[in-house]
Amino acid sequence: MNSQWLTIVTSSDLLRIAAEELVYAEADGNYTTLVLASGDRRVVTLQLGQLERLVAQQTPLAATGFVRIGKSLIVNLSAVRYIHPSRGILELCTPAGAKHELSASREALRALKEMMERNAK
Amino acid sequence: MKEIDDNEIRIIGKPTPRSGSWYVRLAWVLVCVVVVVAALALWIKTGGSFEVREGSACDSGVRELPAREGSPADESVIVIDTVVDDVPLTLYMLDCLLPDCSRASLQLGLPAADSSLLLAVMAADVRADNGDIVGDFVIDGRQLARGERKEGYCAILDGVPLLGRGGKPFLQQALDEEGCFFRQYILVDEGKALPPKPKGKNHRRALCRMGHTLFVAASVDRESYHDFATALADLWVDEAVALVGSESLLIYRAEGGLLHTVGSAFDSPNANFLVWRR
Repeated sequence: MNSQWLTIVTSSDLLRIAAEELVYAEADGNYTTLVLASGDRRVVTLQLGQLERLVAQQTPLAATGFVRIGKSLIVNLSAVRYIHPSRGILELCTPAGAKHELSASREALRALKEMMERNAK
Repeated sequence: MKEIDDNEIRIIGKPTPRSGSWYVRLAWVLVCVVVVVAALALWIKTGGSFEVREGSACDSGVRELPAREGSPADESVIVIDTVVDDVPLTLYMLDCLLPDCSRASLQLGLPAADSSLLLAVMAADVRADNGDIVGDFVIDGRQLARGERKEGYCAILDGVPLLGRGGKPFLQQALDEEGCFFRQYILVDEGKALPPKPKGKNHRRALCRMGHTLFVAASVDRESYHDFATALADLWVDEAVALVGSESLLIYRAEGGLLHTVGSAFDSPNANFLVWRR
């Protein structure tokens, strides 16, 4: 399948990422940290909601492979390896084997677990 | 885009059953086709005499509406219910490129509900503490209030509303040419959402321009300015200026000729209305 590209433009630079390269994005106020499958971390001057809108607009085919979890995270569903709602743990794994352990609300992770259970059936 | 709680998740790009942005766009395409066909028919009928007024260099963001010519056509307000970014909206379409179907004005007090009334909506905010109108306010060339804190404006010159951000030249023109002018929050400027600072949720209204079409947009539910402005921008509105929201009075003539009211007028001598009459 052809890659869908996410292009983030500011007045000073341009960042282009293949949608499947984005493992997760984490909000930090008016900034968002993008964590890529290569291990790179990029901080962009976008709020997470703005990034969410960009993903939906620029990569409509790939967008449904991403899930917004609460106010702070956007996660690539294909990278989800382990969910433990009662401990609030979400573990992601890239194809290269890099692991990322994130925390999120138990309710949100419970909803994510249920959704992925339904999709697995 | 609707705000999300820390305990919620949502699949990005997956429309919720209510949002239907694809359907919204299809609806808009159909509306545009109807508008273009109507405009073309009118243009042929009038011998191709639409004119576009020159814009002011000081307000490069403002593109003016076509001058009104031709004969009256549709004499009711088209009401469209839609949902954008999970924000349910009701649109009251006014202009639709049908010249001479209406003339706008600004007035103090309740508009007379006579046979000429097409649409009336409360325009400039009135202060709760002293009852003064907020921001520059001009009726028939008379300035009744001053203030530039709210950047959005609506100027009415020769019955034609112009809206945008800034608007000082149009304020002067309204004073010189016995026009009308009021200020409100700018919500969308050149297609970009510019939500004003006030937080909280309420029923929101805005005067919007999309190309050559003017309409009033009203949120069905209580919305933040952020969500409302973003929804209007995602609706491809070029400019949107806030109107009095909450449960304020809106009157429109529906298909069939009957006047309908939404909300109620508050008791203030400075309650003011943006009114379209045929």
